[in-house]
Amino acid sequence: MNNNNKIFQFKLVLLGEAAVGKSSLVLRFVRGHFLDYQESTIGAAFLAQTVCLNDTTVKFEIWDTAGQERYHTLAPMYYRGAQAAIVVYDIRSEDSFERAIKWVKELQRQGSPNIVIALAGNKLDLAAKRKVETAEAQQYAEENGLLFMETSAKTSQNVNELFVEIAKKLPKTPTTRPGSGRVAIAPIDNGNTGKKNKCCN
Amino acid sequence: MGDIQNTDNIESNIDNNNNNNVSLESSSSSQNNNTNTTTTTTTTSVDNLQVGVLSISDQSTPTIETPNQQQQQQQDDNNRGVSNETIKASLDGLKHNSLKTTFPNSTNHQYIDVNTQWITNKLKERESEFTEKRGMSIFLGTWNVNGKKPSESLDPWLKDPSMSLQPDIYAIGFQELDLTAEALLLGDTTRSLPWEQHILNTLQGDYVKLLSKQLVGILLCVYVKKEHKPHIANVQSDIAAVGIMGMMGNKGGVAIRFSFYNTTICILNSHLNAHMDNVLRRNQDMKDISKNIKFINESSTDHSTINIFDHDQLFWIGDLNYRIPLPDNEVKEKIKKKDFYNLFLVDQLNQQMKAGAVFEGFQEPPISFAPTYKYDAGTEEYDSSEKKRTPAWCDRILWKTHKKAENVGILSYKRAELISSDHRPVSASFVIKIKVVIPDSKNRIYQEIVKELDKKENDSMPDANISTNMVDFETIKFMQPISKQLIFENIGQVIARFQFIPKLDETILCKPWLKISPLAGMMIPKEKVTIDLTIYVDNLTSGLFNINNNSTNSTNESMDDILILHLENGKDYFISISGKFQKTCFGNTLDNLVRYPHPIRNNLPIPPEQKKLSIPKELWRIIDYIYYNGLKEEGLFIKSGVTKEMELIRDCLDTAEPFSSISFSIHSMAETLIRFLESLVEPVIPFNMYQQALDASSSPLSCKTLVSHLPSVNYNVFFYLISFLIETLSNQKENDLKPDQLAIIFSTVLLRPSPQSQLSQFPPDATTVKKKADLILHFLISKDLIN
Ligand SMILES: Nc1nc2c(ncn2[C@@H]2O[C@H](COP(=O)(O)OP(=O)(O)O)[C@@H](O)[C@H]2O)c(=O)[nH]1
Ligand SMILES: [Mg+2]
Repeated sequence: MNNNNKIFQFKLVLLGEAAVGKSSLVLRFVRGHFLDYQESTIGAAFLAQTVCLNDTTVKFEIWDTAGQERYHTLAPMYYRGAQAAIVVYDIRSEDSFERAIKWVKELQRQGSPNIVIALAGNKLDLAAKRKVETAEAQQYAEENGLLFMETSAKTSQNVNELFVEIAKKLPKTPTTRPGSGRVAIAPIDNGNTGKKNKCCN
Repeated sequence: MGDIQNTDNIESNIDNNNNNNVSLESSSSSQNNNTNTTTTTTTTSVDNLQVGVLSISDQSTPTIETPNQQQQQQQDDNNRGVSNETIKASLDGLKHNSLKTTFPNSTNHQYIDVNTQWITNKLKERESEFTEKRGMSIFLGTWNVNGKKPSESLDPWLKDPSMSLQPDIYAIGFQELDLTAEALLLGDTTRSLPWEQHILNTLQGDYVKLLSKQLVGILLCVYVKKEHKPHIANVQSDIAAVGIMGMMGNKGGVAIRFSFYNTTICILNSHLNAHMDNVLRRNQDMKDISKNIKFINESSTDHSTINIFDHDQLFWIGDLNYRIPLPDNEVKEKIKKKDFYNLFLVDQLNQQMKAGAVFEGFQEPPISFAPTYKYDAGTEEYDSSEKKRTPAWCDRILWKTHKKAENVGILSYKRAELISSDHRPVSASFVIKIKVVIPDSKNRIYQEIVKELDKKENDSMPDANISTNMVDFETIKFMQPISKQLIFENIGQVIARFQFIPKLDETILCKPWLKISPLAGMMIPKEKVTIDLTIYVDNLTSGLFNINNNSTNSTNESMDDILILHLENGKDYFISISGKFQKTCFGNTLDNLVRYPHPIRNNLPIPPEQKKLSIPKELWRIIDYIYYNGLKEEGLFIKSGVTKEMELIRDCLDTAEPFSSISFSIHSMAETLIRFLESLVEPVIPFNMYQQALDASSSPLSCKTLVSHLPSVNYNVFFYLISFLIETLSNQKENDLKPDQLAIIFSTVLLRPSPQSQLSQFPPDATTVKKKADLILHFLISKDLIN
């Protein structure tokens, strides 16, 4: 059958220490390019991007957040109501990996109940300076039911794959509605109001 | 249900009215008798419809009744020509037949997935890029069987030896398949079963039935080759009756539509009104049927409907009943000579189509066969009855292609020599171009469309630039507002609406000492907006930063906040606010002040176990200064001080610098005293004694009692202050002060309700002002009240 069927819309949030490459990953995924001097995010940026799977279409409403610790208390505004999260660390920094684990824990505790979490070890192109072993991260991800991928926003390695894997894992229930995370006062979860109308019988 | 065996004689019944009842009554049960009678009048219409119309319109309008009543009345009305109930019953029959999708009211509110809709439309526009055309064949057949049951082999009609390959689609239509009353009145469709079986036997297992749909005698069946079944979707049917009040189903149309690969096909089988003279009626029938047949638009999410013309390929078959308006013998002569060309020139359908009066845009393959009507059933002779109906091409096959669709290829258009009916069956075969999806291309184009949409959406998001994300106010002094500006610039392509929003689960936008202006606004592209941020720490907010009880370290002077500036449909900007509050003796509690031995500016924590001062040292310094320098000053406490001088005085108080280092007027010091008392987080007469104090104000003794119950520090301050004021009044000659003036001035700062309390109203009412002043006045005039 044709695949121009329903579009499922999901809110996805990126979390992780500052400068690990969150914005770069989004930019690579959405716009297909990379900046060596990516302006650091002070706030939260919104972008939309659609992933076409074989039988469904998944549209992500992506919220890229500020990683600086001083803004930590504001993060729940953005991960609340998110059905998916990418927690990013820099494979050259153990600290950033530790911070990522803290984010995962916070999401497990306070995020949406069935949130799909992906752990991304970014800057794979700089693997020569690697500090976080793939196996270690892989194991942590497995134990916690996370998707895991090492990525490079610079070379684009595994970037699309990461989003596609998340899209595949997200539940395509008929109630998933294109609820916009961007109404009026956007980041506050709006409880997905509108209801899916089923075909008349 | 009893069958009416002799329906094939209906016409002769009419012709020979006497036989009518006899033949019908011979059939069966009494109830059937009843319906039979009515049937005769209504369905005999093959050639005599007007009889039926007239007899029915003689009757009054149908009424709605329950089935029981209806049956009962039918019994009563036995043998009456046509009754209301008959019409009612036939209505029911039709309703039963026409059970189909109820189309939702388009004005109802409903959620419409416009994105999906948009993508679907775009995909449709680019269909040619991801489909390839494949020629497939379709066979269409139409036969008015005049109520006959299958008796001959259908091979000559359905098996076309001229087609090298089997057709991919078969669409077979019948008219007058069922002339029984049950079909007309009760929607009984059992008569179609033997025909359908007969067709299936003829097609021999290579085909599957897609759908069949019946409206009384009009039956349409669609079959496809088994291999195509998985590529068929959205199969729907609908019916439309024409004729008497649009509801007697003996004339009308049945349509079946479906998607065949990526091509939409609609086939309509109709039986239009009869008679040589009824050309306009037939034209109207065609229009009514096309208008009334509707399907759900499955590719849209808004439940809109489509009609028969919204298809790539439309085929219209059936007994269209158009005649040849020439004398019977002339027609027969030309038939003998096979001069079909000249007959066709005057054929009503041909004429009407040429005139644009009906079947606009339709085409018909060239006719090269003899008229298919009317034969003596079972023979090869044209009508030999008294009526001698002129032969006509009643049975036709037309098509119409959608603008963009490619034309069809005609393989054949002919009649078959089956003789059981008074019509000959007609068939046509076409090659049509079917759009077959190339899945990879479709996926690619779908993704392109979706990407384009994403890009447009992202590009149309507002974007702005903020001059800084960090606003440092550095040192903030008590009661001295400081403003900083942010420049917010629309650097996007669209209007940017912005708004400061509260943090999660909060309702306030920022700390109480910060003012933002404007809180919301909008900018057209390239426009800039200046946002003012003002910090102002007053009595109400200074308590947050000054020395306080529980802070062992005194680092609470830092003023921090994060503002969230939200762009509608876009980003959020965080703005960090920072500043350092310069501590001051103003805006503290008496209790903390007496436990703090250092100059406030030293910024040390309250020492533990510190021996309490009897009154705050700053208060002592102020009063001491006035005592030595200003008691005789005229207008003391009445004239106002100079703001700048008061700021200097405050600095001296907070740093323990001597007043001698600065110059100022005594009135600035006097006002500092009042402001100091006013700034106390809790006044000298504490909030919880406010009401008591008002109540006591009428009696000096009650006031004395009240004051004696003050906490010790408060008592000390009160005592000290009152003693000082009394001293001031003893210089009345010079300073011209009146006790009631002083009482009013000091009562407002010594005695005030908690800002949270309901008692705090501004301006206070006159009685309250008087009561407060009275309380202080008692102490100022009865010097022995305090001791
Ligand atoms: N070599 C390399 N540099 C990267 C990669 N991803 C991001 N960066 C750089 O790391 C810095 C921080 O990236 P940014 O996306 O702003 O990180 P964020 O604070 O997590 O959003 C920028 O200078 C990027 O150019 C990557 O995969 N490889
Ligand atoms: Mg960033």
